[in-house]
Amino acid sequence: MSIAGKDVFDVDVLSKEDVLQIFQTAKEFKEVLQRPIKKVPALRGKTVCTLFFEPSTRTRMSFEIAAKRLNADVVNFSSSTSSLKKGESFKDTVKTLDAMGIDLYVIRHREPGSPMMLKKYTNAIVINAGDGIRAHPTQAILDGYTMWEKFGELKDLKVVIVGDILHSRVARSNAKLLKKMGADVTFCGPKSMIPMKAEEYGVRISHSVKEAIKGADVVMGLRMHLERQTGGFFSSLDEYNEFYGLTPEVMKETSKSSIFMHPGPMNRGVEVVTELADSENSKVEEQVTNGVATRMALLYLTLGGDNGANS
Amino acid sequence: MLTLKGVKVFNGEEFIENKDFHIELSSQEEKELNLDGMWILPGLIDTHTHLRDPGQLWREDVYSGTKAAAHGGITTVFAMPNTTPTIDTEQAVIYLKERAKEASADVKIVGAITKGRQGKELSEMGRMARAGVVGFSDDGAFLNDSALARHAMEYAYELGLPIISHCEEQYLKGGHMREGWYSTLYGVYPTPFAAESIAIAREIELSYLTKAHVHIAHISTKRSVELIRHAKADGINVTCDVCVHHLLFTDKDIEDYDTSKKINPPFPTEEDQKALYEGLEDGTIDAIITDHAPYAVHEKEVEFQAAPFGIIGFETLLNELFMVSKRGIKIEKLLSLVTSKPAKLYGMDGGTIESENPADFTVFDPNDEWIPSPQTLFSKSRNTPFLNKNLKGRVLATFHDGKKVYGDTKWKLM
Ligand SMILES: [Zn+2]
Repeated sequence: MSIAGKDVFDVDVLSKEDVLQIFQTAKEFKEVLQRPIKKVPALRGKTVCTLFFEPSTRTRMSFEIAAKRLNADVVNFSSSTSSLKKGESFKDTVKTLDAMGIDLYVIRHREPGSPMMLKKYTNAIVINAGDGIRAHPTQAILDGYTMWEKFGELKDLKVVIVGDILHSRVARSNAKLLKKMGADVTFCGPKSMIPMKAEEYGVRISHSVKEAIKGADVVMGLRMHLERQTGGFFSSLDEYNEFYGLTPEVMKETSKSSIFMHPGPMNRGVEVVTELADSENSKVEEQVTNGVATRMALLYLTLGGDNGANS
Repeated sequence: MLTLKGVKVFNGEEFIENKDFHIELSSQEEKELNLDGMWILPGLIDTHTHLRDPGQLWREDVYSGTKAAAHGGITTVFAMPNTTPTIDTEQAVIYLKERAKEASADVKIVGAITKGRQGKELSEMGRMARAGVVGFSDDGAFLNDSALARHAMEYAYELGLPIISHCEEQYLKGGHMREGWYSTLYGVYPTPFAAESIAIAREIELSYLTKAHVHIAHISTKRSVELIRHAKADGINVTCDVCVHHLLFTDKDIEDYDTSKKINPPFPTEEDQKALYEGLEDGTIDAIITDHAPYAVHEKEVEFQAAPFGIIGFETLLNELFMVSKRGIKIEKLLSLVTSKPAKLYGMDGGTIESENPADFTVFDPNDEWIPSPQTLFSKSRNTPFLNKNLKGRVLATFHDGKKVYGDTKWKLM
């Protein structure tokens, strides 16, 4: 139970064994999710608070469903209903919430380091649901789980992450987790969108999809934010799509059993064409289901649930 | 007459060991104090500070600021003009000078280059010079308009005063730490080194064009050091300083997102920091500054990227120089960069101890310790990464204009 009580600021706080334990537990919970009554009382009496200072219905709902499946009470706090608008500081907001007796916070905030900042004001467990462009550990865990489920292990798996790496917390956390588990990772995108010294993650850097993708087991697309065009990060969607767009054609160079993944929401026609997004080797929908199962596992293990997944 | 026995006197260049140091006192009594191994330093000179006066008095004022300076052994400070309103007229200079008469240190005033530091129109540089400014700066902002910058230098040259330039190219700036592996790892929007070096390159060329003395403030990158080294070798009238914090912290240290480590320019990468040390060794860097920049607790107690840039520095300057010396630069060299060197650079008196009974001096115990805290700091603000940390070395007393402006309990007697 080494994960119990841990704050998940990023994947680095988890050991290899922790990651595998999360995967195993997620697998059990995934079975629960197939049942007619998709609930276990593992976290009865616990209160989970989602703190979303940045709009993200998908991630917030995934956490909320995960917590509710475990019978925890869930309160949601989001920026649209928050007192941040009234100019109350982050510190004051957290102090107010903390006084209400929260066991675990799930936080999404545009500021890197905000989960650690939250921890300064609370004794509750903190799980990072995305802090700026820094980290998104639960996305990396669900992505890793999806690969593990398909391939059995992550060691030596060839993973290529394509697109706007610079602004991507998903790519950053994935690189850390996948390297920890022994995978071979490539960041692929135009130089303007590869962060400085990214090779220090232990990943390969490529500016050509055709080269990067050869023999890949996993190809992960990233959402391209259209407003990056104004910053000069790319010239036109059309050119970007021609050089970096993912298509069934491009996937021909990958390994036979390769899969396509995407953290969503997808910009169809920009980073990926519909034919690939909806193809047989697309795992995009599976990732959503796995998101709930792995978040159940993480909530359960961090809160030290002792009722067992099957009780 | 007070006699300090067994002290080491720093004359601005080197220590003179085991001296008896005499101070004239207002009272007639004769006293002796045994101060074995303690240092007598010229009052330190800090040529880049923010006293927040007028208009931002919740952060600091000319009195709290100079009390903090005295507590750090500093007796001369340059007040940057980014106040509210900006120090950009003769009247404003006279006003601040008047206020500073009762201050605990000599406050030298830097006037703004442009009105309101807006970079649009030149301020009345000639009139401010008449009122006694020591230089001109739009510190905090770079004067983007190169034609205007050229004319400012032409006036400055005529007035015999330096332009103190905050170098930051307008389109590349905007980040919250230096670009590198750690900005990638920490997910903080960065500024590349070229934002600084491009601006410095322009200043060098304009100095060559106008012959004006351009002093580059708080350099922080390897390329900055190299450009200035070459310019000096070419005989161009360019000088520079480095902020003491940049000699102790690097981009890696942002790992805890502590907003008291957020400063502009940002902490250097290890490679850049190494170049700063080389610049100190070979004389490319002409002075060390604190860039004392107070902010209230509530202003800094926000998210890292939302926090303002700035760190206080008066009270920890000597402690920090001590730490820098541990990394391989002789303490005499470092002390000269906060005493005789800046005095010479700006053509000022002080920064040396040539005879006994100097007007400005500091007594420093290199073996004592202290802890900066809200209780011990004299500044109104406490935005320092050294808060609650035990620091080696302590100022025992500071004298300015022949008067004691700071003294710990031992010195209360006097
Ligand atoms: Zn500046």
